[in-house]
This record gives sequence, structure tokens and C-alpha cells, in this order.
Amino acid sequence: MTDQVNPERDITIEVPLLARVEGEGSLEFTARGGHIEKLQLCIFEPPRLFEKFLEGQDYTEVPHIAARVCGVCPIAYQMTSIRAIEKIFGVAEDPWVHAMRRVVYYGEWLQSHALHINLFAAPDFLGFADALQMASHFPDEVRRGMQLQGLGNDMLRLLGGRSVHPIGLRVGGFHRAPPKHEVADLVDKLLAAREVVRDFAEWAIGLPRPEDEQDFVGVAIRHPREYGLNEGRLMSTGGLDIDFAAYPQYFGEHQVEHSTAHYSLMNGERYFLGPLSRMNLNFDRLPLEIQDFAHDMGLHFPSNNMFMNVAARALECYLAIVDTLQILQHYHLPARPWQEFTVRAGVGHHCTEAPRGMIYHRFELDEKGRVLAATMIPPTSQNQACMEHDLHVSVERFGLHHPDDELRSLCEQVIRNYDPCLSCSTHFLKLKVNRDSDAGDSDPAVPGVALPC
Amino acid sequence: MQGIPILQFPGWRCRVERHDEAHFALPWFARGDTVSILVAGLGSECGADAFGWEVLRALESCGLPKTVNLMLCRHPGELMMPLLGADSAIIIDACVGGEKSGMLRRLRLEDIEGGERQLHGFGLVEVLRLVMALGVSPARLQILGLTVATPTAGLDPEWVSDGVRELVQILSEPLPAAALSSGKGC
Repeated sequence: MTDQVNPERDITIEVPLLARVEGEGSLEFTARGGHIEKLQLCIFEPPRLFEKFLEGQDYTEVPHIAARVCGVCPIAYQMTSIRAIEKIFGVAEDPWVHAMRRVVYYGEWLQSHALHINLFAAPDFLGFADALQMASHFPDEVRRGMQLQGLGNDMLRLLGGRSVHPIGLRVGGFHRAPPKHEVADLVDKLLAAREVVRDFAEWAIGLPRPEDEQDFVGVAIRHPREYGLNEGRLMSTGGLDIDFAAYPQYFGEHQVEHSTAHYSLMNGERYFLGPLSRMNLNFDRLPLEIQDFAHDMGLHFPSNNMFMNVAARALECYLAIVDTLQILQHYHLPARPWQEFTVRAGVGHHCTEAPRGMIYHRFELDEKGRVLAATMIPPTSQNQACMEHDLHVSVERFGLHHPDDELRSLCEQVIRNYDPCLSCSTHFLKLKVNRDSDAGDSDPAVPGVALPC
Repeated sequence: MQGIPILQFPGWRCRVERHDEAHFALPWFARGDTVSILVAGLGSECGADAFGWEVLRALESCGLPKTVNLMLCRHPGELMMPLLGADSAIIIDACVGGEKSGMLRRLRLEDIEGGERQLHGFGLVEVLRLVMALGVSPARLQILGLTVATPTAGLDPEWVSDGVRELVQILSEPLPAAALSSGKGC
């Protein structure tokens, strides 16, 4: 039990996060007289300029350029841009292409979710300083998570050609249909991993996660038959039910002084994206095997506990393997792995579910298929208002009587729960603390954040 | 690419350059052990960063023993499971250093600590530390680094020849005892 400190002390916590990957962010936290005055997540992600880079490019270049927005979830950027362009060209997805797109997207989910649960969330819940410390106490669990992460990469490679910035996707479908022997090899791995992922999910769901009930509106894709992933309609737990093309009518971005990333609001209100929102809106779309498993584990959706995000991620890992098996066990070689189309001018919109939440793209092309305008709105910036609100509520509930390092630790955990592509070492936030009542308690700043999505 | 060596396995007769023939004894395989060796080239297609890939491409057509697995790798995170599954591993990478470009160095973990981290804060150092925490012996890991003066340096074909020669030299040396003492996991 740590010593309590005066909750009415003046607190100024500055968390200047520096990262060199794809973005930077920091946290500023000020409290006086026992009240939070300022608690801001400042994403000072440098201008990425990808939307401008895309202007003037031929549509065939878009998937490869868009993939570079994010090294963790390139499929999300490729798939969303491809489908937005296909909407312009009037391409109705062929069933084979649709199914294979789910496989490659599941690969991205599996590698991203397994990495997050295994190395970033679990150390928080188990009280370890970092994944390295946890690995020496839970080597089998860490190996298992890495095995699933590797399997996700295998799924990405089957159709993408490689796991980092895949090159197999194109407007119309894929450049190559995997031969049956490659699919059979992956099916063998997936069959072997079925029990592994179940054990992994059981372990992840059983982690001592905090209770953090919050009032939020979840937004996710919902499909008539499938778990929302790459097709469907945009829905919310508050009753939204719109076509992807209507996104600009309901969602708006604005700038704030403390962050270079745009904030997004839905009808003027914050909203929450990611695995928990997907699960809240799509639990009945899970295969019965996984629904039964969730019930057996005592899970109930919808849930307003923010930290059920990790349980939802675990269920989505299970889903990724079960659904991919279902698809690939009935694999057949298509006559051609892409669909024909006619290039034409127009505007197309599409949304898909990146591992950490819904992503929206809008493309405008000229008659030769060159990009006139591109808009790509990633989940992390959409979640930013919700993250700030979450931080505020969580800190108030936790209490300012806790020492600064515990407050910092709480803030880290809350932010990490969104898996916002932040550099996820448990030391990613270092605090500079200046209190009027306790001058001299200070810390140097730094380490890494990556905010690619 | 001109200057890339042509190697013939098995038999260990290796023509490293057009005018330079050498013979290599590879005791790791000659004794008939089924020791699996991961040789991973870390990098990309770009400039000197392609060093590891080009060295492996030069080796690829040489009829390597089946126990040697070559892996072109773009991100250190891809190495985690393969490192856990191998008896021994050699990682080849280009690194920006203060020395003149083209210097080959056998690096230790501490030599590369403090470098720029990558996605999710997981660079090569973090990956190696993690697999070591999971039981991989440092004695079974070797890093072959090519120093370049700047990140934008081009790739000299001679460096690739040197890299192949050094790699074969590493393969020719006695395998660390630790590599033969247990099962998988470098």
C-alpha cells in the first residue's frame, strides 16, 4: 500500500512522449485544489501528408502507398482504399475475393491482437514492469502468444506475399491466388492452433483486468451474416445505422490547440471504436462455438467495462482462426483472382475494421483513375476524444491522493487499453512532475510512441 | 549482381569472388548433426539496407544444407518465433555507425543497444532480449553487421562479397557447445 499524498496539492504532470516511428504524443495533466484542471492527450504526430502524396497518383499505386501509413495494420489501409476505389468503378465483390480479403484481414487482426495482449496488456494486468520481466515468469504463455502472432503473419503472407507492407492486394482482388498446397499447409497450422488460441483466449480473459464502467457510444461495422470486418453498414450502440457513404454527414473532424491530430466527433459527441465496440455490436455474429466459449467464461456483451477490450481482442483472435479455417477448408482456385472493371471518374467511400477500430476512406478519381482527392481517417484519431474522457474519469475515480507515479501508471494503462499503436513498453510514459507544494519532484521525459493508426 | 560469390553446398567449395577460390569446412553439418541454423537478413530493398538480403540471395542458390534456413526479414518482430525454433541463429544487418562504410563486424547485443527502436518499441534489441528471457542462449546468437556512414548509403557489391565470405567463415567455425546441448531455441 503506497502512502497517500495530499489530494489537494497542485499537480502538474507533463508527459512529453517522443517517438520516431510514425507519430508522437504526450500527456498533460494539471490538478489544483483536488480537481483536475487539464488532462489532455496531445498527439503531436508530425504531418504525414499521405493524403497529399496520393493526389495525382494512378489508382494502381494507391494500395502500395496507403500501406505505408502504418507498419502494424497496412491491410486496413490497403483494403479500405481498394474498396473505396472499387465503389467508384462499380465493382461488386466476388465471393472468392471477399472471402480471401477476410482471411488476410484476420491475419492482421491476429498478429496485432496477439502482440498487444501478450506483450503490452498482460504485463499491466499481472503487475510486471514490462514484457521481458513477464516472460521470465510466464515463458510458456509468452511463447504461445508469439506463436499466434507468427500464425497471423503466415496468414498475411499467404495472400499478401509478405507480412510487412503486403503487396498481394490490388483493386479488383489479388495479384495471385495461392496454390492449394500453400493453403493446405496453412490449414494444418490453423488446425494445430485451434486449441492453442482457445487456451490463449481463456488465459487473456482470465487476466485480472480492472473494472472501469464508463458511459460510451460504440461504433463499428455490422454485416447481415458475418462478424463486422470489411463489409456492412456503420452502426452504433446509440442507434446509428448508415451506409459508409453517409459517414461525412454524421462524423466531423476538428482541430484542437493541443494536438496536431484531428479530433473526430459523431453528431458532436465522442465515440468509441475498437474490439469492445465491435463485440458489443456483433456478438451474435460470432460462430456459436465462440459465443458458447464466451458464455462459459462468464462474459456478457454488451459491456461498458473499458477493460473488456482485452477480452474482446482475445475472442477476436479465436474468431480469426475459426473463421479462416472455415474459409480455407473450402478453398478452390478461382479462374482469376481479381475482377474486371472499367476505370471511371467518381467518388467512393468505404470503412473497414482495423485491429484497433473502424477506419474510413474517401477517394475521388478522375476519368483516367488518377486520384484527385483522398481522405483517410484512422481509428486512433477518432478515439482521441474518448481516450481523454476515459483518462479524466479514470483519474477521478482512482483519486488524486495517489502518488504521481501511480497516476502516471494508471494513465499509461488507460491509453494502452486502446492499443493506439503507442510504443507499448510499460515505460512509454515518463513523467515530469512539478508541484507547487512539493517542488523538486521531477523526472526526465521521453520514450516512444508510434501513432500510425 | 557482379561480384556476388557463387557458393556450392555441400562440399564446401566456395568461389567467393571471380578470382578467389576458397574451401570451407563446415563442421556444423559435416558431423551429420541435425542442427537447425537460422540465417536471417534484416532490411529492405533500399540501398545499404539491402545488405542482409543480398547476402542471403547470394547464398540461396548455393545448395545449402536443409538444416540452414534463410529468412529475408523486414522487421525484427518477424524473427521472434524463428529464433525460438532454431538451434542457432545468425542475423545479418546493416547498421549506421561511426566507422567507415563497408566494415564488417561481429556484434554483441550490447553493441547495438541504444539504437533507434522500431514499431511498437520493438527493435532488434528488444526481440533478442525477449527470446533470451525465454531461454535462448546468447552463445547461439550471432549478429553480423555492416557499418555504413549514413542511412542513405548505397550498397557496394564488394560489401556483399565480403559479407558472404564472413558468413561462410562463421558457418565454418565450431558451433558453440550450447547449441548442441538441448532442443530448439537457439
